Formats: sequence, structure tokens, C-alpha cells
Amino acid sequence: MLQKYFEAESTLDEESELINYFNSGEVDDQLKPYIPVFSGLKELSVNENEELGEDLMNYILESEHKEKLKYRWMWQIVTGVAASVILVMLAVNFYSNKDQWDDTFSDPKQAYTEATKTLEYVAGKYNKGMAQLKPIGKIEDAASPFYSGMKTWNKGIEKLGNIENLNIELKK
Amino acid sequence: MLARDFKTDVLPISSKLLRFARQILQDEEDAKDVLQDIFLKLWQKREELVKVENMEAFAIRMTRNRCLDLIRSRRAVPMEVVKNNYKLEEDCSDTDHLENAEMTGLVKRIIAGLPDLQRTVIHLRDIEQLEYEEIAEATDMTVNTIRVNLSRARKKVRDEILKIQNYGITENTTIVAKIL
Repeated sequence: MLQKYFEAESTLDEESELINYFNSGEVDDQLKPYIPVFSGLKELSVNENEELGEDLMNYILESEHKEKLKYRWMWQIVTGVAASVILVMLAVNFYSNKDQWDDTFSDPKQAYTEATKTLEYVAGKYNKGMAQLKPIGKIEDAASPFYSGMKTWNKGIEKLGNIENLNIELKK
Repeated sequence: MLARDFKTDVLPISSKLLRFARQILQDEEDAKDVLQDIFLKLWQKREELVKVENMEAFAIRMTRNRCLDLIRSRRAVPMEVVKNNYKLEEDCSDTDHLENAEMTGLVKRIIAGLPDLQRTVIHLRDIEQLEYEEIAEATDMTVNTIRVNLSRARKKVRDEILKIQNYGITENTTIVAKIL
């Protein structure tokens, strides 16, 4: 089995058997020089740090937390810059529009008077336009006898509808 | 993969990976740093880990690649340092009686002085007890290459141990040499 071991032809079970034998304390004198090989290998496979897994998990969670903080910090910077840009744009817009409203009246009474004047001007123009439409009223007057004649005609037609009833009665 | 599965299936491999990284890098702090990197990556990719058939071989492969990258990036030659240390301790060791701690240290130093492939296979087979197929998956080597390198590594460890003991126990070594 020892020969198989050194030729790398032994199985894991056989190797485990060899390790147990050389660590048993009952090794044949002739094979004692091999004890350091197998006892050394056995010692090397012992888990020295039982808390290693826990330490690694803590490291992972801590790294994830740091990563999240980093992204939050980046997000804060991005949103901060975006908010600043919006504010600047609003400020520019406000000041550029302000020039257009420089003629606005500061006194409300004066503003009311000016508004009334403007509306009166518009109303005057409207009335002028309406006055030019007066001849259309004359056409309407001329057409009124025609409309009344048509009413009489319609009545006569309605009476003609009774002729049919008269014919039926005559037949009877 | 859920966090619970990660804790039960992946975290327990950490001891093996630390020993393996330490074996390659010969530096405790570097090995721990590599391990932290590896586990952070595994955690971030945990959704994809369900597709991995052999988690242990997969993680060992990642660790090996990461360690080799680190050595290449630093252009470090850790083996030279290890070999020098080994020679110094060898010269002043008392070979009549080897205590457990001494044996462990001795085997560790002999393994550390082996060429990369031999060191990797003897570590994965004799310390981590991996099957040949698992070692093949973790190292991209064929089973035959693994056997050849493992045999050379084991014989080298044996010869070094016998050589050290030879200083005090010549008779026993001769008998053992006759047996093998």
C-alpha cells in the first residue's frame, strides 16, 4: 500500500488508512522513518480557524454596505447637480421673462383705467363693424311679405288634405 | 442561490481555500486577502452558482488563478525565499527526535519547496483529500499528469524526510530503502 501511495496509484480510502496507521503509535520499527510524512500531512489538513467562515461573511456584508453607501453618495451628487441645473435654468428663465413685463403698471388704478380704455376702443371698433351690417336688415324687411304669403299658401295646402276625406264620404 | 445556501454550501470551503492560497503564496496576509476577494466574488455571483456542479473544485480553481495572478503582478518569487528558509532550518535541525509541530513544519516546508504543479497536486490530494477528477477540474490538468506529478512530489517529500533523518538513523533508513 505504501508503494502504491508513492506511485500515486492508491485510492483516497487507502491513503486515509495509511495516515491513520502512521498516526496510531503502533508503527513497525522498520517503517517509523515514514511517520513524519503522514503525521505532517495529517496536521496540515486540520482546520485551524473555526471562525474563518463567519469572518468572511462579516467581510462580505461590510463590503456590500460600503458599496451601497458609495452608490447612495454618487446618487446624492447626481441629484444635487441636477437640482442645481434646474434652479439655474429657472433663474435664467425668470430673469429673461422679467424684461418682457417691464411695462406693467405698478399702480392698479392706472392699470384699470388703461384696461378700460383699451376695452372701449375694441368695443367702438366692434360697433362700427356691426353698423355696416344694417343693409342686411332691409333685405329682411323686403322679404317679410313673401314669408306671410307663404304662410297663407301652407294653410291652403293643409286644407287640400281634407279633400280626400270628402271624396270617401261622397262615395259612401 | 439563497444566502442560507451560500452559508451552508460555500462558506465551509473557506478553510481549504485558505490553506491552498497560503501554500501557493507563502504569506498569511496575502492568502487572507485573496480569500476575501474570492468569497466576495462568489457572493456577488451567487445567483449563478446553482449551475456549478462541483463547488469545491470551482472555488479551488478560482483561488489558484487569483493567487497566480497576484504572483505574476508582483513578479514575486516566493519559492526562492521559502527554499532559503528551508535550507537554514535544515542545517540546524536535531534529527534524532522530531516532535509533531516540527514534523508538520518540516513537511510544510518541503512541500513549499516543490515545483508549482507538484506542490498543487500534493496539496489538493494529500491535505485536502480531493479525488483525481476534482483536481483535474480545478487545475485543468489530465488525471495522468496529476498522477505523475503527485508521485514525484510524494517521493520528493519522502526522500527529503529520510535524508534529514539519515543524519542520526542510518541503519533504519537503509532497511526502509531495501523495503521500497
